[in-house]
Amino acid sequence: MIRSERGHGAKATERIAFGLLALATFLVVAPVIYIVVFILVNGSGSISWEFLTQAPRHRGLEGGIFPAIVGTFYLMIGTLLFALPVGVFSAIYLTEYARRNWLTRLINLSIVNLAGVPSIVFGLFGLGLFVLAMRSGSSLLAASLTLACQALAMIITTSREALMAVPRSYREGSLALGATKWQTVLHVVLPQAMPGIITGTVLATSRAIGETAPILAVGAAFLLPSLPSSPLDQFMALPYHLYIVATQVPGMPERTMWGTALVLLVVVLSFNTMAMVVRWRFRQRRV
Amino acid sequence: MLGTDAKSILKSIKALPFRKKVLLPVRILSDSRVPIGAKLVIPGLLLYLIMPLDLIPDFIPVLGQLDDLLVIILALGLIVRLCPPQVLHELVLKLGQTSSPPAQPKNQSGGRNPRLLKRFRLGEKIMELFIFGNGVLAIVVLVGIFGLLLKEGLPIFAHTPFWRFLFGDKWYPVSSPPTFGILPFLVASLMITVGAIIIALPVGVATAAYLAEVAPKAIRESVKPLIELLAGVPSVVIGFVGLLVLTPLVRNVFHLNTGLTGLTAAIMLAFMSLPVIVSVSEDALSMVPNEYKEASYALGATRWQTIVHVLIPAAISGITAAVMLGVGRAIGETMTVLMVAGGALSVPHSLAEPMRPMTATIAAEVNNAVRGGLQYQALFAIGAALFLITFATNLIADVVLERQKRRFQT
Amino acid sequence: MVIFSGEIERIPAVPAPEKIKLRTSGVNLFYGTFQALRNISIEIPAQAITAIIGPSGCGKTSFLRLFNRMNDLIHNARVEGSVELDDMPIYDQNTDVVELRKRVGMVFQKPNPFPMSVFDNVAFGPRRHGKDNRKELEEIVERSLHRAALLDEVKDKIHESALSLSGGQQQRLCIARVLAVDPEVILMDEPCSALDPVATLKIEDLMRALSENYTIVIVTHNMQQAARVSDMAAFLMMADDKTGELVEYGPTNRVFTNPKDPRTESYITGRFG
Repeated sequence: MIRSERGHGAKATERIAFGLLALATFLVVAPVIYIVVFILVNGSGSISWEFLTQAPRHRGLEGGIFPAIVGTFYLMIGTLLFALPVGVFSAIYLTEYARRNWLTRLINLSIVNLAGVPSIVFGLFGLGLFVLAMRSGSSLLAASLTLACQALAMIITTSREALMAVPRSYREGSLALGATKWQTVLHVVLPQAMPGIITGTVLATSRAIGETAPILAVGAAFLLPSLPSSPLDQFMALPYHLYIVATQVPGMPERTMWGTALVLLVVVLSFNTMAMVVRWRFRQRRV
Repeated sequence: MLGTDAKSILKSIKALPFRKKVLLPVRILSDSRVPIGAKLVIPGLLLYLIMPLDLIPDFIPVLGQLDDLLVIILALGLIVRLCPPQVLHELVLKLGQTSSPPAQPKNQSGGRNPRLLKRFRLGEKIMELFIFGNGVLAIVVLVGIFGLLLKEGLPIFAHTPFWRFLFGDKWYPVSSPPTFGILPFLVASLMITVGAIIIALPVGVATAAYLAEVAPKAIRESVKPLIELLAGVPSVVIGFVGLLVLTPLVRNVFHLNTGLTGLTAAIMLAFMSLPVIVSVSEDALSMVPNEYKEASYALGATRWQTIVHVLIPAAISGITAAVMLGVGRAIGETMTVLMVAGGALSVPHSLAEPMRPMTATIAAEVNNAVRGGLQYQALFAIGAALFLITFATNLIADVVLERQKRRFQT
Repeated sequence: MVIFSGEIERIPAVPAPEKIKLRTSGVNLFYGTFQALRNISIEIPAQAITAIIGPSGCGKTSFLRLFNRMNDLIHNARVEGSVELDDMPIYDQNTDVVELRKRVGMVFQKPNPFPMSVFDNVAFGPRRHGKDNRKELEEIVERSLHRAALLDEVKDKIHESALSLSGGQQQRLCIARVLAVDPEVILMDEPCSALDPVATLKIEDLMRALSENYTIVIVTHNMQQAARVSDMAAFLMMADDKTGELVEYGPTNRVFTNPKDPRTESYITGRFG
């Protein structure tokens, strides 16, 4: 009798506890949905052809955000250009060439820690090295390099996973045919790992272009009369623009803020979902 | 000798096929008559490749390796120049002789070298060197960041002694004379981070436990992408929504003068550090071997009891790592705290006050600081402190994670 | 199985007129502190099929992988003693591993065609070794497929993915891929273990045909297969410390019908039932 009572009590406790766990999960998920829907609903009203294609006027109180969209697009290209090859080659070193020694452990440790460096510190680094020491000024080039450094750790990590997923038997088959190591990597391993590498890189890049602090430190512009015409030109970018219109300009109409937030969110999340869909489909095919 | 004159040697070198041209420096180096100077080029070259001091620093992707490539080519040329013409001529002639494959009768195994002697593959070697260069780049960047922070930040201690900088409670960077004490920012960072973790830890671990043990597959499969999505939302967007939604809420609920407080920031940071806490904790929970669970069920424990008394204790190191990573995120997060924490410069006494953490300080002042000036140095010193703190938290997380992995691997 | 009881004793351990292609003397193989092989000395004749048999886990595969230095890929593997190809030591400092692997090809336990077309699979080796003339490559591919007895079956899908072939076809494709590099020795690591009986027979026929031009070393756990195809047989077995040792080596007929070592005998009789 007592035992069944206790068993009953334990069951009831369990039901309450699981309810609490579900509630916690809801607490995590609900704000995400809320943020996305909130911005979609409020921002969609301010999206117009003019908003998307014109430069800001009157300290950003009027006009659109076209230069910021273009700037973010350029930043993405620049970041990819720098971070992709370096990240992939670095991952190749770690999976294909590195031996198990202290250097490899040190590299792995560096990657882990690089991923944890605050974005504003990357910004300081970019300011000190690219903007000042290399004299490239507050330019697209400096910002792209800074963001590339920030994206590097994630690109290496995801590329390494993609490379490690390539079956050993392919490598052995190629080496047994008398192919050299690099030939094996180039012709057998890389083509197999490419979808995974691309996915990871797109994900990392979309995170990087959503960052504000690094480009703030490097010196993004709030208002520019014309679009950048060379990598050494100053630039506008969506995240920085949102920060400025949301906090720094008194009297800014709310619709400009919402519109900017919406465009930024759509740009970043569409890349995110694209990468996730590619990865998901790739996994399905594997199985 | 006829061909000792430099021009004719150059001509015969030019006549060599590319592979032989590349082989030439190798042959030269293995010849005993070649002066030591030419041979020293190789260690010199290696030194240049390894040293962080470069024409173009290595940590600049792609460009950084270009100069290395150039130097390799230059060095090969230099070796050829430094070699005595007599010896050079002889070696070139030798190479020229063996470089006519059609003249040599192919043996039956198809013209391959029957003696299995090691062949020098230049392309392979260059690729290896190049890949190695990229491989160590993560170290170079990390060390480069810290080195730069120190180089730009350390000079501030000539103006403000280390302890006064760390524990001074006044930050007046532009008054004359300026005062640099970062205690307000340290305390603010600490308060907000602790607040964030107090909120995020139970919620995160509960979510992880729910996803790993309780949730039906359909829910798990739809919640996980949403959490990943959260990690992808730019922090400035989250800060913007927090500014509009959370700030008035906090002001009204707690009856404060302003909603721009450390508490608001802590709630937002809790939210933002959830993705990493949930995913790492969930990994840790699912890594616990099934036998543990089965043993617990066999003893008549319910699923809930099993989670609390078996799974979470077994996964505790993974959860610790998750919390450390969450702390790292919270301390390093910049934009949200810049937007919602209030930005007050005095040492805060409670979370309900406006405050300015370290990251926000750098972000707020970096564009106004005169380059190379005292304020600029002070900001870099704050950056170095931030770097050290996040480095420590990540290091601890990594060590703990490795230990957990090793424990359950066999 | 037919037993030639009268002639066995007169057959020498290694037929005298045949050339020795591969030789190991006193080879020890270590993985870290674990010793996988101990003191193995063997002489493998050219243009013949040598089977390596033994219970699973006794180091047969590790032994086979000595000959093309595939053990190098395992980070803490270490080899003592000498392994020779045509009297040239292959674990010498100056040995070119790539060159060695061109001459000593390998077929793996599980068919491992690359995820490319049939053509690209066979042309992979020649391309890596500098042949890029389309016409020449086509000739090599056709010849190799023909020699691997696969040409008729894949003639129409030569540009389709190699992964669409059946298991047996994939394995013959892997053999064709090796033939395209024109090796002297072909190592086969249980090439039929993943195949059905019909495909197995096809591969065995192929091996017999190939043995006229190539030195073949095959690892197998299938006694019947070893008896059917091989000229020489080596029996490996684990010692008490799990280290593999060579128990017996000789012409297949002799090893199977009149084993000298009681361990060989009990293994073979146990296997044949």
